[in-house]
Amino acid sequence: MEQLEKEAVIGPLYSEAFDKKQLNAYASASADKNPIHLDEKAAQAAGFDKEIAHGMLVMAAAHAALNRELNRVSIVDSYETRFYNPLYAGGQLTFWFVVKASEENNALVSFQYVGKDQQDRRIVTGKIVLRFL
Amino acid sequence: MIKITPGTRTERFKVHITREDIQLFARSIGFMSGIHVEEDAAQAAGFSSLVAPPTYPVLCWHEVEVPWLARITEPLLHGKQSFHYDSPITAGNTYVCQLQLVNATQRFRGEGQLMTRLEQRLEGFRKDEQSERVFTADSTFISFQQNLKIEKEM
Repeated sequence: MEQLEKEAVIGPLYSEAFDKKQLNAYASASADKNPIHLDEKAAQAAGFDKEIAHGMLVMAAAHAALNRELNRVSIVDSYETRFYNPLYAGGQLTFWFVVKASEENNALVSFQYVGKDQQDRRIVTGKIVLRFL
Repeated sequence: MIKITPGTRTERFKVHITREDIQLFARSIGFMSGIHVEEDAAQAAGFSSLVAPPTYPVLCWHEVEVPWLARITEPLLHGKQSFHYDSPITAGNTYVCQLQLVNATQRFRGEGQLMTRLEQRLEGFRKDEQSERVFTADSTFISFQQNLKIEKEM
């Protein structure tokens, strides 16, 4: 198994577009029906240009992208994210991860990450700790 | 005026999680294979059944009346979120959950708009005699609701 070297950069990893179909599917699966994600007028009334992706969907997408790239079975030990800017419906994210620490004989690995949109705006940053099985 | 009191907790509530619940959620965030959607893969990795993706506890937020959010009419924005696992959430189990408003603060920002920051914690425990904690989800929400009053507990 390939070892994840400390400070190794993983990326760019591209998300799918967060289109309205996906926002609707996530709203339904997560029971988060906040109209700023689903209705353009409600989003505009809240001060956004148009519908914005759920923060929890963006966070989930970052983990999914890392998981796909590593292609190893793992579970999440901890995962934290800070949200800076909204991601508008139809937008796409590029994620970058950096390996920050490795413990327990490389079974527990922590990554710092950033997600940016196509305009290079910082949407999220955070830290994820994976336990490889 | 909407009054909110840090330290307030919801009642404890039970959440039963099925394979179908986990599959539906996992697929909506892009998992089409692996321990979140395939029973064989989960069991091969040593789990009794499907493992919930890390952000799954968000579903528990909607299972209980949350008094400090119930009367807020303006959209809530997510500032920060964390999930910590003592052990993974797996299908076929029931978890006992509780939400707490840990802190609430207000400040003026930008052009003098009042911003309220709500810090809330969700904890999930095993529904057995040991009732060990399984997960903790800390959220920071931002609200621009103008008629909020924070009441510290006496």
